[in-house]
Amino acid sequence: MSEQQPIIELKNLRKLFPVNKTSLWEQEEKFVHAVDDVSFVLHPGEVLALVGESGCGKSTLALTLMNLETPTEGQIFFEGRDVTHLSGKPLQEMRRHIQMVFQDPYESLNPTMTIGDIVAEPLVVHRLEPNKQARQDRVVRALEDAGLKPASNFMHRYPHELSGGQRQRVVIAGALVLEPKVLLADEPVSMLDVSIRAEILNLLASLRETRGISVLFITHDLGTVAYFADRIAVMYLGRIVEMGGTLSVLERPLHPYTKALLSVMPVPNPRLRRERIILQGETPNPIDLPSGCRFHPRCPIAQPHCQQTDPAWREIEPAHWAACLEV
Amino acid sequence: MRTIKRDAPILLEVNNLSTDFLVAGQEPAHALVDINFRLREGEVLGIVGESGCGKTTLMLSLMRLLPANGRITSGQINFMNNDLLDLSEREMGDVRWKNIAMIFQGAMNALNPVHTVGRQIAEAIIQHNYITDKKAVTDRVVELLELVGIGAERKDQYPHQYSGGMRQRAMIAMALACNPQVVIADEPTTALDVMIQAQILELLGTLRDKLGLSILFVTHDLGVVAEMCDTVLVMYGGVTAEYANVDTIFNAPQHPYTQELLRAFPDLTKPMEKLISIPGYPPRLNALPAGCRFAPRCPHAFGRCHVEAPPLHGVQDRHFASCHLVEPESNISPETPEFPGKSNEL
Ligand SMILES: Nc1ncnc2c1ncn2[C@@H]1O[C@H](COP(=O)(O)OP(=O)(O)OP(=O)(O)O)[C@@H](O)[C@H]1O
Ligand SMILES: Nc1ncnc2c1ncn2[C@@H]1O[C@H](COP(=O)(O)OP(=O)(O)OP(=O)(O)O)[C@@H](O)[C@H]1O
Ligand code: SF4
Ligand SMILES: [Mg+2]
Ligand SMILES: [Mg+2]
Repeated sequence: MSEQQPIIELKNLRKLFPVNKTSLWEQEEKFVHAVDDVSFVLHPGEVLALVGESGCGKSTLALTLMNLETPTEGQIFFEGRDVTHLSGKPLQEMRRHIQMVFQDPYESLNPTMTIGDIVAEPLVVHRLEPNKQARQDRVVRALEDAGLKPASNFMHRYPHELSGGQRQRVVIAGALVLEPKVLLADEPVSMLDVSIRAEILNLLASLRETRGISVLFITHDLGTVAYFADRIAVMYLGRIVEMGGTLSVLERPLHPYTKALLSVMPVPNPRLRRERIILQGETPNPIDLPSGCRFHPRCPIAQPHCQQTDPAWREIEPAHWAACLEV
Repeated sequence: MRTIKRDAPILLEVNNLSTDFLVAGQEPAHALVDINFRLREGEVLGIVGESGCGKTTLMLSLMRLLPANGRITSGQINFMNNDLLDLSEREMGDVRWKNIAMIFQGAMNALNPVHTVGRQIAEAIIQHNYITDKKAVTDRVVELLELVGIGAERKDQYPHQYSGGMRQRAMIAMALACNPQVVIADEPTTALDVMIQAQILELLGTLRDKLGLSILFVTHDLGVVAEMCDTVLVMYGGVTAEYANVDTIFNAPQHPYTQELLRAFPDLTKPMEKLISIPGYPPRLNALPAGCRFAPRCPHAFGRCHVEAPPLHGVQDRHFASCHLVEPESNISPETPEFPGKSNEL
């Protein structure tokens, strides 16, 4: 897989949001460090899970990747081409290949449109398939790949006539209809019931086989990614602190933050109740970043030098990376 | 693993509780049918099931806080030997804070934005005459906030100055205002991040140990149930599918619904194992199937399942399941209650 050209590559990506000054006398301009020096590659057909607490920058990273937010620094490559500063038509063209699926199937569907029209809309917006029959065919294929079979049963219904799981499938069909190469799924299942969740996770996993799609799966729930991600990237305060193959990360976590996250994931077996490493407080505000290692104020194994030195990103085991001074 | 005494006193005993919703121009919807359980002192009972299976309806029935179109049609809710259904509205008002307090689903967004958190807790204390002396009320507010891990200096802040996790803690503090014996927590961690969820679960565990609280814990997260609960009631379409101690539910479930729920739940300790989703959807109350409510989705359903509703069988000591395939030891009857009351006991 590593020999292939990556479908997406990020190099030192940074996204800062300026903070409104609260007083005239404030000297320096302050920034929210939402994404702070992130690099990774996504391979064709790969599922990469991006995991971290609320506010760590997962959605900002996805929006920047889609060019919906302009990066402050760094580069984004799509199929080897630098697309960081694309605009106009080439940007439109690129966007079509990277589609996003958001959380909350209840709010993202227009209640006044039929399912068929909702799924056809991206084709109209992108001026693809002006031929009505061809358009219809693509909508049918997208609906069926999203598991709404036969499509004719769903085309003429309205969102309120569908269940939660079916609505989430419509959202996915709307992304698939453009035949994207990459799917960015931002917490696509966290609001869903157990059985619907399993159904959608299985669907996302199968899209890799049926369409060879790459998936960046964003979540704060390690449990949902365990069984279908190829690799896991763990994010803390705007930075990726650990990345590696799913089994390596789950079985041999390196970074103390990953260890804490894993230890608090509820496991559906009362015989496996364990010692939990519960970090107190919440992710600190990414405006005034802690000195040295940004995790040190909450880190259970922090040493004095952690307050001074920002840990380098190191390959600790083959293809298993972490940024921590104590591993 | 923590154990509670098998013979700890029973605080709350629910017998054959049934609730209907009246909908204009339609047959009443049977939202709860013949629910039975016992809650002992210091026990955490988990109530699980998919969305719409009646978890909140059960909790609101216990509290007698059903919406206007809801009716309890049969049963008893015995709390320390009084049937709550016999109490006057005023007496029930007292029970609600001093004996059984509830943290509502989505409650962390229900704090009043225009008053400080401290003031809202103080009002709950005063309104229910738990304490009247002004100074003592303030002391109690501080004590409660500290109990849930919020520094006293934050009592004069407004809800918007609190994070989601802190608002949920404040709601727990409020529920504890008048020192209840039972706390009902309806999805208390569902909207929270994993680490904040772990903090809240740890807090509830500490409160149970420190104050001897009994907790009715409503959730659809099986991981949280395995982590927190001593006993579990699995609901499906308004009926009890299975009721047993937590170890039995996870390691020797008898009802096909419990088994399917477990197979559909992602488990970090079994990466790469395929998830099996349950086909179809839970029944709608106005379109209930004849026979077993789970039959249309059940992988083991046979002829009888589609015509006859299975009764709740006693499978073993303190283990009950409502499925025709379960070997009954005896039919359950409210006169011979032998309910699970201890974790970790097979
Ligand atoms: N447009 C914006 N302006 C200023 N700050 C922003 C903006 N968008 C995001 N942020 C801040 O950037 C940080 C990262 O936010 P982001 O939404 O990417 O987090 P997340 O990891 O997706 O969180 P969640 O799990 O809650 O969705 C947060 O501190 C957030 O408040
Ligand atoms: N006021 C009402 N009138 C009619 N039907 C109602 C009313 N309230 C709830 N119901 C129905 O009763 C059933 C049980 O609802 P309930 O809210 O108890 O489910 P739940 O298990 O708490 O679900 P969730 O996990 O989504 O919170 C559902 O089918 C619901 O549609
Ligand atoms: S009674 Fe029949 S349908 Fe119901 S759970 Fe048992 S086997 Fe399945
Ligand atoms: Mg987000
Ligand atoms: Mg509910």
